[in-house]
Amino acid sequence: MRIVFKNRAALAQESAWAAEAALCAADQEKFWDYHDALYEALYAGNTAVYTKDGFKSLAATLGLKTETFNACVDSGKYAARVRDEGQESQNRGVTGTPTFFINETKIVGAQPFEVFKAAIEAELAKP
Amino acid sequence: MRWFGHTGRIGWLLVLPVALLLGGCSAQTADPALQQRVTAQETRVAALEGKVGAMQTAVAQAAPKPTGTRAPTPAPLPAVAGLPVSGVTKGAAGAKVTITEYSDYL
Repeated sequence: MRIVFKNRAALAQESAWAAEAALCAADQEKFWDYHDALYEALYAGNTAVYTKDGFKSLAATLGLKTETFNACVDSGKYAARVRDEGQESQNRGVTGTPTFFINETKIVGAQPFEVFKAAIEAELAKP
Repeated sequence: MRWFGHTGRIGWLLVLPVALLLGGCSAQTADPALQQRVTAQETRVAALEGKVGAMQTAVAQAAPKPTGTRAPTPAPLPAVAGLPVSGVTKGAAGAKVTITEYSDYL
């Protein structure tokens, strides 16, 4: 099985910045750590993270090379990619987040585990 | 005195209606049947006010009380372990099933 994360940064400018910051973390193979840390901050109500300075502080906390990371964030290196992924999501009929595709089967929202399990097993069962 | 008599007749013409009017007003407040109707209505209003008060008490007692604590936001499930990681991808490129998530960090 393979899991791929793509951005649909539609809710606010901070969404796009967060997406770009996470992709900058991916340059240092820390994407999933950074991705998880962003959601943990969100669930904890720590909205201070969701600023450019906040993203940089988070990177420092996670042990990233801050000079490289900060330069990446400041340059807008991944701005186009974030926009492109947003367009891709639109082309695939995504109207809300999170939306998942199990191969081509769409699951909208944070559904119970059983829903994903059934969809995955259905795909695995195909010849 | 013709003048006095003339005035007297006019006076009586004015006095009589006024007297009758005043008598009518007195009759209204003194009418026992009317007073009875007024009292009955006042009694009904008081009874209704009592019922409303009782209903308000019942509603207040039946209403759910806030517990003072908020249900926690569900935490995300633990990350999938054991899959090779490459950038924004976990797992092998040739896997039979790919889960693609489109999401927003907010």
